[in-house]
Amino acid sequence: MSMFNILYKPAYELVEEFKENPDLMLDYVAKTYERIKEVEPKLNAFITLRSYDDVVKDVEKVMSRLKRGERVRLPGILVAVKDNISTRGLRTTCASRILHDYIPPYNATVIERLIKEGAIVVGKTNMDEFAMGSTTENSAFGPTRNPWNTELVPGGSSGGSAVAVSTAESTIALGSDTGGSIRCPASFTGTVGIKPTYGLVSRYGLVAYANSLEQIGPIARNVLDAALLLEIIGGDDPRDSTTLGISLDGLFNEVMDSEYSLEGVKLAIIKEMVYGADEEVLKVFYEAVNKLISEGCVVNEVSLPIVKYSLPAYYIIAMAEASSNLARFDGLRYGLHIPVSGRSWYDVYMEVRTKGFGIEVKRRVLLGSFVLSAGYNEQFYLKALRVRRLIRDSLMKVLKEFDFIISPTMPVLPFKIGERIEDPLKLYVIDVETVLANLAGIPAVSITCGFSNDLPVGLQIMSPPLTEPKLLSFSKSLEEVLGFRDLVPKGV
Amino acid sequence: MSLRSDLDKWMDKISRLALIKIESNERGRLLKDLMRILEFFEEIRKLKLEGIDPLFHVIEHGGKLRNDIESQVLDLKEVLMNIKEHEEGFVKGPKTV
Amino acid sequence: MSEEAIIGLEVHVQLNTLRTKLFCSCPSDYRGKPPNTNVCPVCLGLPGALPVVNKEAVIKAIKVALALNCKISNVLIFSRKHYFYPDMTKNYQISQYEGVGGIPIAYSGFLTMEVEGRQKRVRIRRINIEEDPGRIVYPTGSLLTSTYTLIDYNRAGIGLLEIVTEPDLRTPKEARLFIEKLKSILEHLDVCNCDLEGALRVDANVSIPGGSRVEIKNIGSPKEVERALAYEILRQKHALMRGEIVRRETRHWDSVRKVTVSMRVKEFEEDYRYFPDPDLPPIPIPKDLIEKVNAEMPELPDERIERFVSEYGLTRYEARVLVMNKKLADYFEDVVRLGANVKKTVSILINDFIRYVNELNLSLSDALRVIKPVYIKELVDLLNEGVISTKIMKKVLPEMFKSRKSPKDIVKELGLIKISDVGFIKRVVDEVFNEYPKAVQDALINRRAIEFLVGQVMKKTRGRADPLITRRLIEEKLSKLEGS
Repeated sequence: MSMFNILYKPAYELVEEFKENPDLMLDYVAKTYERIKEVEPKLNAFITLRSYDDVVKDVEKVMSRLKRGERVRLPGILVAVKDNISTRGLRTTCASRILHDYIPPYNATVIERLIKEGAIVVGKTNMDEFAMGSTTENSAFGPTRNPWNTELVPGGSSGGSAVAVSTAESTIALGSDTGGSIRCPASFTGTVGIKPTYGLVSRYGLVAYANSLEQIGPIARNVLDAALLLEIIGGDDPRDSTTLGISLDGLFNEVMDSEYSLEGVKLAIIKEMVYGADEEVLKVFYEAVNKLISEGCVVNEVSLPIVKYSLPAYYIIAMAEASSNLARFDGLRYGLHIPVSGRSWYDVYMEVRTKGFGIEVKRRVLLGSFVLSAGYNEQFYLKALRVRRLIRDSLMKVLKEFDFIISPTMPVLPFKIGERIEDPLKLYVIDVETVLANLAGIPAVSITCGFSNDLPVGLQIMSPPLTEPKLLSFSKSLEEVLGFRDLVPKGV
Repeated sequence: MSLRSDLDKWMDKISRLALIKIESNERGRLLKDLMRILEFFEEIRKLKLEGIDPLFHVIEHGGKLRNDIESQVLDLKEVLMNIKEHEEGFVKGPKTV
Repeated sequence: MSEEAIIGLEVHVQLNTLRTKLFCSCPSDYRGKPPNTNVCPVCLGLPGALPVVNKEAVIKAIKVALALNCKISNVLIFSRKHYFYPDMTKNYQISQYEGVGGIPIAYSGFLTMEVEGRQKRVRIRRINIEEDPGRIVYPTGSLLTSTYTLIDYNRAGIGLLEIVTEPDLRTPKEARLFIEKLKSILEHLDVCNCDLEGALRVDANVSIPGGSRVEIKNIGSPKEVERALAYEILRQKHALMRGEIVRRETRHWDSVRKVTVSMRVKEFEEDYRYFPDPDLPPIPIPKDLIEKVNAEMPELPDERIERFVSEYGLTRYEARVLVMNKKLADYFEDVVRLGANVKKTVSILINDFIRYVNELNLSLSDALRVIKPVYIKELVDLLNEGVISTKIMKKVLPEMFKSRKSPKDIVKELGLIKISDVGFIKRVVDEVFNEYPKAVQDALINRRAIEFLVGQVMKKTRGRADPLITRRLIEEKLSKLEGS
């Protein structure tokens, strides 16, 4: 267990120890690689793992920086990065055949910010291809397994990142969330995941799936680590026109120092969100709710009928944007390539894309093209956008009356690998709790609120835009009350 | 049978828009999946929402403007790094007819 | 009265006076650079890269909108236009859209131009800001024989303005005049250096009574626009006379063979699936920005023409010729400010300078750069002072192009100073009369034959003899001969 001591330490404690005693970083890295060697074959969380030697070189660079007296906030901390976030010189595949050997010549803004603070990328994690999926089964590199029970899915699409953090293959991780892709695997792996307010974290370098819905966000084992990571990666970026010009400086300290009292906090539960969730999930969820009530929270159920339409609206919008974002993949400038001589562009592009995209990506790109096409654009795409406005306005109305909206993160417990993947609709429906935050652009957090059948159950908290300090302080209090943090999976 | 040929035409059309070929052995299954998803979308189609503006973007007014100042371009080496077929710095591409 | 054609134009103008591309900070001067050495993740379309709008591009667009009397949108929205093609790095173009979710930067304007003495108003339907694609090169030089293409993305992402007219034009000449006027406006606004290759591209839509609308793509200059339309209208007329149908299609203008060629008929209509670009949230265009740009508008061609007439006493025709090309108008003012005689300067520039530029196959802007204004002033002074005759001036000017020397040096070196010495010319006249007695006889009978004698004197003096004195002396001598 002594090995676990350092590996399961929270990042915010580790950094203090590393600053005091930089040699510890080498020990930490060595132990991490031992851990990876041990669990990776069972889990398949990584697509590309950096070599031990390369990482040690990076550690030595950080050590020099510390010696020079440089102030860095994440010295030596190993970060697992979802493989749709561009890392310079390090293969970035989006778990797709069509990018199987793509090496970006530039870093995403979030990566630059991490490196600036002394953090080290340990590897690129497995995901559903182009972030399209909720189980990390849609990967050209094989599925990732849930460390609590390796027969089960770890959630998705940021499954690899969540698993890496959960099993201490890294201390913290970056994921992306378009319709729940951070919160779902956080819930299924017993970790903490944040989807920030839209526009808070730069998407420069994030390979786009659905640009108006997605954000990069942190996955960690506790709320404070997530807050620290969010502060470092977030903030205005002149290279991303959709960032809001808001700085997150001071977020971590604010959350750290907060003592958010639960007394009188008004929580809303939206009926249509919990309706249809599995018994076992609801049982654990309501147990947690009762605990909160006993701490002084006031909980009310509200009905928002428009929520019923959130899933089709989400999928129409996401597929439409995806069909556009993925148009660029034709093999000429990067990725899977078909020799061009003697052939028309029509044939070459058709062949590359047909060979390079997996079946779920194909479905979404085909349908996305359809819902944008002449004659159908109004009925599908524009309609979905009107529903989106209604959803956003209704949620904002609820959040005027209530402090937060809570729900289970997922309506089901982690299920067997292969169980739902054959039927896309069976998968789409499990996003019912999570898509709302993406449609409205509001922040959402998932923390563990209990267990069922030895499997973690996630609780989701949503709040108005740009209220991360309040949201994370509240989440920290919940974490303390409910008692689940820095969890060690029993399956590995 | 006419429904089938309508569906076939439809598949051909979206295949062209997306430049993704639907192989004949996949066609049946894919068609079934796509139809079911479209049924799933039917709920949206049936809604009457006149008077509600589409929300194209959660950031309805914002955006950024950039000053007209040059910055570094990519090295040719970096550009060619991922290009499989190139000739004297040009990217080799397929015919345009 | 022949039936009139109905013509509309779509002009693509490169924003090459910007320093950077439209959505990224790559330099905008891509011409002459080795392929793919002027790109970044954004314009190369790398996964994850994001566009950010060039502020100066918006200001230039507003300037054009104001000069063309357009309504200006109060919000800037970009839409994605989807189509696959090897010169497209993202397989969609970031452009603007008139339909749902989008709006052009400007619309419902007009341009006024003079056609055969009357004013004609051409309505502007819309102005879009959009990005240029890359450039495709055919390895064998021909589209038809190349088995693959070579693509250079240096140009990808360069800013363009698309200016679309209503179909208000009626003749190929009107189309040319429109483009010339538009060019002049764009140059005076410092929005586009139109002389650079590919900076101005025109697509023309034309229909004649009885036929459908045909689009002609890829026309590069005002003259070519006139030629292409003239050809196409004739082609359509002939087709109709033969009983053929003129169907709706797109044709390509071959500027070498001077014909329009049918492009391969596309089986399917393009469905561009426009929607607002989610990476570019709408940007407000405040009224005070438009007011500020308006207050800082430079002198426009029409104003300049008026000023040339009132300030310099030029005829309206002279002013229009000069102002049609901003660089020429600037040059004229430079020369005149140095103190050169206005009338003579105008005459030299409009008649001789432009002629030699065409003969020597130079571009006007190159020529204006090569020959310093002070040299033209010198030339004008030499003429004014009687040191050289007009005829000599017409020799000196092309020499200036060839040797780049000053007119004074050229005149000295070539010994071209005008000879006004009556005695000297008299001796040459005598020589000519002696050498060509038959011509003298002809001239006595028919005064028009005097030209031969004048010409011979000029030949002997290498053109330097003052033509008036020469002529007078020859006439005198002939009169004397008649008398005797």
